[in-house]
Amino acid sequence: MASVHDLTHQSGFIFEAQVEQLGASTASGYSASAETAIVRVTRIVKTTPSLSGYGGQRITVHLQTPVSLKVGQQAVFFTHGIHYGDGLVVSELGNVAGAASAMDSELSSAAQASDDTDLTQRLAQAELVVSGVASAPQRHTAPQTSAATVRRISEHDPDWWSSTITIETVEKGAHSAKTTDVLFANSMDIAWFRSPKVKAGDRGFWLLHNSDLYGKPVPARAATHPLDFRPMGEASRVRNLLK
Amino acid sequence: MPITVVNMIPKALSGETNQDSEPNLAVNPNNTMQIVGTAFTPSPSGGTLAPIYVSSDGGQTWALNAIVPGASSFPTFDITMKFGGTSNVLYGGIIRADNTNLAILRTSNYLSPTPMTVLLTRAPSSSGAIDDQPWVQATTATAVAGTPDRVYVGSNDQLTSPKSAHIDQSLSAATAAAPAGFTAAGVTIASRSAAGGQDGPSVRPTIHSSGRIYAAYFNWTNFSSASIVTTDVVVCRDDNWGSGGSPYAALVDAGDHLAGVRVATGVKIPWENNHFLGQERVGSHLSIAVDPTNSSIVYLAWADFPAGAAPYTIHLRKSTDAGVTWSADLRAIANGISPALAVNSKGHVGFLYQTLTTSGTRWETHIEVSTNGFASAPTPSVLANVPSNAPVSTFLPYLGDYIYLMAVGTTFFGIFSANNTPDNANFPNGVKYQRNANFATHQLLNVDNTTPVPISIDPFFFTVTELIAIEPIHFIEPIKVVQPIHVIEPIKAVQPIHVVEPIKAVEPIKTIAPIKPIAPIKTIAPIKPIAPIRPIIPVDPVDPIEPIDPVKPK
Repeated sequence: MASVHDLTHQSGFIFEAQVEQLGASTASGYSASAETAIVRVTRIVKTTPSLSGYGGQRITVHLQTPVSLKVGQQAVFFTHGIHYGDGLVVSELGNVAGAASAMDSELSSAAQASDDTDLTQRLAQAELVVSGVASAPQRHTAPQTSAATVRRISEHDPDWWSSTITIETVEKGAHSAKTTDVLFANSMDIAWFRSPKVKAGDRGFWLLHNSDLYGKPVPARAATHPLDFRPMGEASRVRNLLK
Repeated sequence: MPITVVNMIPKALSGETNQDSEPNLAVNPNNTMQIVGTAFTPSPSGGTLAPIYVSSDGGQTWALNAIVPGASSFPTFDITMKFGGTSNVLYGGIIRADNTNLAILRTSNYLSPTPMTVLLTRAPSSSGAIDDQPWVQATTATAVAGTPDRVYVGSNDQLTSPKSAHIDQSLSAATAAAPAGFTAAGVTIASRSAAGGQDGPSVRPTIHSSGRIYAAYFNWTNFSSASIVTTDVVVCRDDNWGSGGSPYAALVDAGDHLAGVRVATGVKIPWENNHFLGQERVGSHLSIAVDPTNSSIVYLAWADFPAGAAPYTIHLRKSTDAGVTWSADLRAIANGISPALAVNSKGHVGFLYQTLTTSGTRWETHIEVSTNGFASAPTPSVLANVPSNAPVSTFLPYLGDYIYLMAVGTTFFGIFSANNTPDNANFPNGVKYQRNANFATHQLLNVDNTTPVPISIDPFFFTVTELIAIEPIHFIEPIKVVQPIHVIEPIKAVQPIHVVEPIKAVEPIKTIAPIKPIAPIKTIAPIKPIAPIRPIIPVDPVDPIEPIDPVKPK
């Protein structure tokens, strides 16, 4: 079986539950079988907002084979959702028998490591990481490089704006000047609404990239991923992950 | 007309608060119990697959099935889907959320957890040119040998700018391996080099079963510094499934002699990619539908600033000569967005739209059904009437850059997104919720049916069923006294039919060699007369030979 660390990273919904009925289902659109079990959720360890209300609720788990759980048994289930109808059905990636409290430390560590994986990747890809304070942003005007340059217009346009960062520390990359410009997507379109929207006075760590979060080139160093701005409160986390 | 409205969020997701905007709908024409909906709905437990809404009971109940590839921090960007006509195959067109590629998708089982197959992918250019708004239409060509599925995906392909109005198409998409008849290049349907640098995002094909395909698009002629688009509204046509060397060139504009008739020229559209109208953005709203009973009748709707000034207004027009000429406005809806047209099997037209009313404080979703081609204005039916300022927009689009309406038989099926407050006053034609809600207190409730949940934007499915007109009943004469029925003798038992042996296969008749010509019969020389046979003279009796004495020994 995969480690708790791996299971935590792979799972969207982790919970402690007690098995109430084997070979049964709470969803009319998902047939009961020898691999399904109805469980009652007793504690949620990791969830999305949509499933955060399932504490105390009965749901269906599609178990991995061979099925070893018994009615009345308690376990921590590592799962992701597979059916959302009149009942919730999740697919088990693995389980650990017993109460979640017995593995709190391990689960907490795994959850933190899972969260850190994405930030570690963004830090590794960044050209420049600095800490500092943002000035008032203004719309970025792309220089016309040739007569043939045509502005592409789409509702998914990032609407580039820029701000000047007064640098306090350089955490990664070479940069001798006391300021640097950061480009950001000011658009609230679905493709960009989660990108950092810089305001005057924002202070923290800026992860600057030569491409956007979709891998496309940008007109200047930009912060486009939700993780590309971290508040000063995460200083030790950022510095530890950069080591 | 009976109307049903159903909130599509399933009970299992009673706690969700997402902005489930920009919906689209696919009803299986082969089995209208099978319906798929799409929206900007995240996968409830994360992961790399985005969900679709699925129903197998005609839209009365819904579940989510996460089978769309390309999810990342968000599930998917633009997404539309359609079923083939009789194949039961579902096709999708998306802009992937992980890399902004266009992808065309397929599954033969929309309820299966197996991810959809990717048939075609097109990546943005290095300069940032992207594909936008893939718009899927599909049918089964039942009159064509092999009854292939034919799929048309309109999109704004900036990689071919300034002629960016584009269709990716397959003439046999149902079963072949990827790309299943799609090509990397697709078809550029724009005939004019848009002076505005590109065409508009909305490129909308519509299919008639005869193989006549129409497509509508905006040919941008200018994009001003004040973000006002000047554009022509263009309709092009192909009469043979979009095949051949010069597809979509059947309609020629009388003015510039280029393919595609300019229905309206120089119209002004505000490009407002912000909370412009009731928290919604505007810039490219377009719809087209062909009459299934007559391929020459086609309806078109778009939105613009009439005479260059507000209010943003939907225009509805009609052609009865296959797109050559067009009517004046048959309907004009002020402060209207997202027109969606469909024509049913009786030639009646459905017109769905959303309009900002009551001094901008309410979003109303209307459907009008015209039985006379909009010769008169039908009375709109209000599907939803909800606040425009709540919930506060999370992202754009707030309700969607489009909603959708289609017809199967005489029934119209549609989808829209709206504020989900459980208040019967907001749904004048009634509504059914699956998610937990208290209509008395107007409160959404979580899966425990107790904990309050904030309002959000949900997708709503609806049907409008046309009642069949019944002829007035004529006065019926009283029934005359009927003579008593004679008792019929019971039928005698019939002897069982003997099983007839199958006829044995007859050997094929051998080919007979042609009869050779017979040589002419030679003339036979006349037979010479034979001399009469002379009578035979009777021979005198011979005396008996006397015995010879034996020779004595010497």
